[in-house]
Amino acid sequence: MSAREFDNGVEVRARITEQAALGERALLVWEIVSVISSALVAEWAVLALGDWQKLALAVPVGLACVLMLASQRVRGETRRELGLSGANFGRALRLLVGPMIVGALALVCVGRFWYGAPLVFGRQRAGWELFGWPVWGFVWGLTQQYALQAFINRRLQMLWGRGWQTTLVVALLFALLHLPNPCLMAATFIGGLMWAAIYQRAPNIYALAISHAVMTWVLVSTLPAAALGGLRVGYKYFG
Amino acid sequence: MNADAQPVADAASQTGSPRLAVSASDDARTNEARPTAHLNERARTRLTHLLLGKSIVETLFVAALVVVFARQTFNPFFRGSLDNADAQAVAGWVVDASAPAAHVEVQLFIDGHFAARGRADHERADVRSAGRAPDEFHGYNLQPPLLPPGEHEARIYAVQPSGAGRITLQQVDKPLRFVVPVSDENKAMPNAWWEATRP
Repeated sequence: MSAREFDNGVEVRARITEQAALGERALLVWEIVSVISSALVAEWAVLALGDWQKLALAVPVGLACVLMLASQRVRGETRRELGLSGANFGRALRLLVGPMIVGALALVCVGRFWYGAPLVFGRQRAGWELFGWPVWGFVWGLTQQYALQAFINRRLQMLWGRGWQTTLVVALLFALLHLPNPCLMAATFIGGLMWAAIYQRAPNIYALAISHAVMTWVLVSTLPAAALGGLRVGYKYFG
Repeated sequence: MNADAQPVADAASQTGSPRLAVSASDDARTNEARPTAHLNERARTRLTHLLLGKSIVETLFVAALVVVFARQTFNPFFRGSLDNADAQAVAGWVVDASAPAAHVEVQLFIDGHFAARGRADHERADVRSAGRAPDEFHGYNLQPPLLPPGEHEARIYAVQPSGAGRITLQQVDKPLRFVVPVSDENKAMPNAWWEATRP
């Protein structure tokens, strides 16, 4: 093989490699967009329907779940890597405690001095305070954190690596999913920054789910329901 | 690890591809392996097919939602007419062709303001003889409120329940203009009559 033929071969291989990398990046973006679009369809289209037709929520939610699980299987992501094992639980909790205390104090101050709202613990729906709400809060937090961190955050890390860029985009996407509720968008953006950054250092979804449930409880207990728009997002926000 | 996914270090060394993830200094902050993007051809094809399939199913789902929502909100089967309008009565008929035996609820708007409501259950033999409904009770006859003298416009809307406690109003036939003559009762009525007759 002449030197020229060798150089040509290297060039062709490099071009193929470049295209493959581009294709992989495109796939990652497509996966993220696909899951986000399912959530937006659920929030903006299905919730606009009435009564029993809300059961149609199962379609976009189911499709998103199938995609996330299948993609993680195809990519060979393990439970530990995703943060679904017990690993990093304590470390993640330790990292969460500080920002959560600061966030809770900030919410108490905003509620007290901005809205003049009294601190009311257990402002949740009747019957949920003692047992139901913490369980529901954890399950709901787990679901959201799984999609947000174990899927979106990890794919953004594959694109850009760990760091502020990935953290910022995760938080922006999390806020986008809470449109058009301004108060929730602000809260989820700040929470999203915290959870995304901590997940990158200590990936554990259970710790994040606990934090999610606790911070939601603090949010609801410190700010008036009218300011939070009844925690409604998407089409339901309008009534 | 799944057979479709390969360690990034191997892939990078074999292909010389740029690393799609982070620097070693970032890795040092966590004890977890850095997520990698590399997929072999088969895995990439599978994932692409999955994404395409999901996109198609979701598009069809949204299209179906639009059709269901439109059908539920804007009933395309209302048939009817606004035959007569004057200071005493506004009359006509309405049938829901998808449920011809049902008696449609109607609302009267005059000059763009709500004036009266009722049900199209008055006798109209011509509706039945025209084959519009199995019975003749599909007429409406609504009494307008006291109106000031001058020209007014009447519109009749069929009420369509559209789920979750919402209703939509669908105009039946074209609006009808009519003139109210001066009388002892209405000569003092303001032009903004709806302010005076508000319940």
